[in-house]
Amino acid sequence: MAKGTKELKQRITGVKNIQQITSAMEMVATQKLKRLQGRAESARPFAEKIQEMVGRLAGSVSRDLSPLLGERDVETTTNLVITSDKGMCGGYNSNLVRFAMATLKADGADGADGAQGSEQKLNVLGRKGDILLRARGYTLDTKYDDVVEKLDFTRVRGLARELVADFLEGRTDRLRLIYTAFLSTARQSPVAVTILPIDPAELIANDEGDDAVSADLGFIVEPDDESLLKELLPKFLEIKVYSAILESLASEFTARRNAMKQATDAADDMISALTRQYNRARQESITSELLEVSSGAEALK
Amino acid sequence: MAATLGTTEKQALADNKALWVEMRSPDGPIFAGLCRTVIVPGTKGTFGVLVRHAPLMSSLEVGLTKVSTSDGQELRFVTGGGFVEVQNNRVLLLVDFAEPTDAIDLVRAQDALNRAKARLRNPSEEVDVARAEAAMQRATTRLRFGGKA
Repeated sequence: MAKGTKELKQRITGVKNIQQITSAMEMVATQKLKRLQGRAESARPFAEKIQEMVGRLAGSVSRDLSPLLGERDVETTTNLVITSDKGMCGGYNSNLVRFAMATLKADGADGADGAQGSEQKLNVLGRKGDILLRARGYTLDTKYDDVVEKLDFTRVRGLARELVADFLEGRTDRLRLIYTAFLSTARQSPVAVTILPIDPAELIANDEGDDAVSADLGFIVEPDDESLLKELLPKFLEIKVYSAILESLASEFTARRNAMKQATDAADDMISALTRQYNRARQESITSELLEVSSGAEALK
Repeated sequence: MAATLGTTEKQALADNKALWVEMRSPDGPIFAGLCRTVIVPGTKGTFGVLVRHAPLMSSLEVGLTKVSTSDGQELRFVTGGGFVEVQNNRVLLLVDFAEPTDAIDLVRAQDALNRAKARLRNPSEEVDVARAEAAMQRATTRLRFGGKA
């Protein structure tokens, strides 16, 4: 056989092997996504309900009752950027990082929200965000590995508590989550959500306007406003961080599944193109051999 | 077990005929339905809620939550700490965890308790004390209320 067919055959085998890997990864991602989507979707209503509760309670009491409600001049903003530990998930991490950079830049440039030129701290979850942001010249203040992949509520709680302590002890004046919101399997988008200080007005605005819900019914509060806030607010923040991580994970696996699906499809295309090329080369070599045989026979006449 | 809040249900609430009780944990919905009474372990003491209860918010302790549904069922749950909100005949319970008492495996709870105790007895670098304590509290509550109908 002519030269070239052998190499083509090798390439086809190579692409087939890669395709096997990508399609296996696609299946794994699909399975994980199903589980995570379930978890993210069951955590969300809880987060929303607790948010409404916080909104109603915090809206009816004085903001001085809890330092977590207190507004202050923003000198330092802590950004918690949630990315993935592993790659192979298309533009998931780079999209988020681009969005995070734009968010930070907007803060530095215009002072629309009173945060003009405020110092920005970056806390990064996930190894990929760490690599990407450092490559773009950002200095990270804290990074957490293994929180994302091995998600566990107790660890998230510890993380949330650290962040709250930073806020209470004045190391930061604002806490913002930057993560990929999971809207549906077809739609995920990067968002930046300020969670500290807690603004009750904003929480109530998010209320769905349910017919039985209003802010000032004169609630009986047990044990008392201050103690309840002391329990409710940290819990609310923990849940917020937890569900942001869950949503990010669900988005990550959607992105990974799509990326792997595309890779598998691309491998399919490549295999058929290479096979065509291989067949043509093989046919050519047969034709030329036939020609040689027949012209040899002709010469013998 | 999880009914939805439809028009009939809303009418029952408006007529003060029933309570709408919804119980959720971060892992998902636990229970939702029309009820006659619900008894919860509040921080200031266990209290019951009937229709026309005044609007209330309270934190909850780990303990036993009893629900009497409108169709005559008596449900008992072991619930983790959390919060309850009552307004307009709606009761919303947000708890760290909740389990029907009859679904509790006493043997497993005892095992978990022993494990947590052993961990707390030999604290080392790897032992997450807060977590072990939470596990212990959970197991103790399960053992206290679990099993009996």
